[in-house]
Amino acid sequence: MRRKATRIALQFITAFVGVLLLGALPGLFTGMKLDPEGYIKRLQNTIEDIIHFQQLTFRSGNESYQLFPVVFEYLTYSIVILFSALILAFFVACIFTYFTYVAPPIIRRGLRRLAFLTESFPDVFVLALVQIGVIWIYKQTDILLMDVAAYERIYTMPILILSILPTLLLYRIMIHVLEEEVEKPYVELARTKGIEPTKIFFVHVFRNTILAIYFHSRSIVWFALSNLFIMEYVFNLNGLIRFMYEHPTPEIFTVSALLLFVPIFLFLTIYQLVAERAAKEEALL
Amino acid sequence: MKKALKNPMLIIGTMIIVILIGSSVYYSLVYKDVVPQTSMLYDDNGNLIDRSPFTPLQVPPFGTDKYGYHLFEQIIIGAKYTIGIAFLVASMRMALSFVAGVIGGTYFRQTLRSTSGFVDAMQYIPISLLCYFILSGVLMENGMEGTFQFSYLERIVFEMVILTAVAIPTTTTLISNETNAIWGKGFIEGAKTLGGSKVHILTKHILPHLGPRMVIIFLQQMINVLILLLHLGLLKLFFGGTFFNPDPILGDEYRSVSSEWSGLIGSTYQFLPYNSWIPLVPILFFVLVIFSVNLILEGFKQLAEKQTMRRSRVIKRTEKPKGEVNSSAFYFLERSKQVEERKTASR
Repeated sequence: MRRKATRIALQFITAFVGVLLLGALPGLFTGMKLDPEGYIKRLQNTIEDIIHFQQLTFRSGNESYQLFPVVFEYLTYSIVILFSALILAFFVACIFTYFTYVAPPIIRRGLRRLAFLTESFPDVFVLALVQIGVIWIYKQTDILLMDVAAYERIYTMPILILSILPTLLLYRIMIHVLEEEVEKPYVELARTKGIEPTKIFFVHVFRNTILAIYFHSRSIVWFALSNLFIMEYVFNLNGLIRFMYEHPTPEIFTVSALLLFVPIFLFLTIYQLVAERAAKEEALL
Repeated sequence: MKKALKNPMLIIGTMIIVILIGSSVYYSLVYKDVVPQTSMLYDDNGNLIDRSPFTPLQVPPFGTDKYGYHLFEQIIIGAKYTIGIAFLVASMRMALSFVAGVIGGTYFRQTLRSTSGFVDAMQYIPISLLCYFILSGVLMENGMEGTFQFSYLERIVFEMVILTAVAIPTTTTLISNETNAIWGKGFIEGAKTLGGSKVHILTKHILPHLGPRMVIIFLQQMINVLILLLHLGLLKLFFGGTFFNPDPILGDEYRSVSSEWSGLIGSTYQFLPYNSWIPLVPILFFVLVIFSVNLILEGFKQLAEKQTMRRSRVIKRTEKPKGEVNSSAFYFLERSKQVEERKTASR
């Protein structure tokens, strides 16, 4: 237990330092020249800024505002959307996978083809389609699903939209794992013993799927984060990543990156622990 | 090679890309990259019907942009640049990460494992945002003065270098892990026991096994670069530079210096609600290229799988005895009674 704790702490510290180093990266270039001195100076400045974080300010128009605690509003908004979308994506992908599992082989093959096709859809394409769809629905029915120009923070639509691509990604991973898993002897044994397919799926196959996703979890979160950025930009959402984009100063970039890093790291660590526990139970069974 | 020609995915994917690049090069050679312009449409009597932009129905196949320039020709012209950049940047990423990854995975396994924490940090920042911060100073035209700080060539080289560099840490870790995994395999142990030196094992065993994985990573990197270009284009940072024309009344105007696709998207994305086809056409072409790279990727995976399967089958096959069996080659011995007795006793 203690070893696990030190391992996680070490991971946290290295990644934290990594984010710090990355955040100062734009300082490495003055114009186009490499400037190692500037980089180190920038790094020192950022560290000092972080120590005196209460004094940080950002400019909006001609006014200058305190960064803390305003930035937390942006942070919670982004994080809530990100995690809700990921969790939603996870459950929807599970349901899809289940239906694929019970579907007849012809439909299964068709679904796999479809899943392959969606792999080529970049986020910009999906967002453009959503935008056109929203406008089309508005023109047809006068119902405005999403007010892009509104200032207040909306949740439902962004969560739904952000979950589209991670759902497809998770679905593809799950299908892949499922296909490998179904071939294994224990599934055959369970089937010959007359256990219902649904039970086999949820009790046995599902647990292994969770484990397989664990290996992809980092890239899934990263992918969703990158999508979130583009979505915040396109739909004018008041999230932290657009805040970073609109206030391109080095200290805001680094501080925001660190603020984003902490909850995501916690989220991933918790998931990791859950997955490891699931794996251990599997080993005991 | 023959197997590759039989794989439909591989062929279709390659065909699409070859046709796009081919027509693009042909167009610039024959028509000198001139984009036809239709800014006004007249009916048969010479009356003005409509002004640009035109829908794909009015001016087939893809309509025109705000100034009446045909989108189809713009797409064709831009194809060679976009695909070319993706190819070049992906190759540079691969070349550097391959050398670093193989050396790291062979000689510095422990060091790499401890530095992977820093590499993890890359996954908490959207890569397009990081690129934006580094590139915006160089690529964006100074709106007040209307000049670039650097020349066209300098900007292109700088952008290529940055787009390559941002992926080096992750790709290097990936390749070094792959290399490491092969070093851990059983047959390497065998080669070591037989006296193979490190360099010998590296060239004879590690590299051939790494080959197919490298092609797959390369294709994935290509898709990665395409998406990055798309994102940067949306953020109005176009390849080779952005003409920035601040206009407080009609809205700021951004134009691409090169005719590359992401520029077409970024400069026209605000038209999406009214003239959806203008940004949608280049986006769809991005989808098409990514799709065909994915097709090649999938086709190649199938091919690689088949090859390993065939290889293992060849090894397992045993020689069948040749010629007929001579009946006088063996004969029955007389059974000794002792053996018979022992058998019954044990029973």
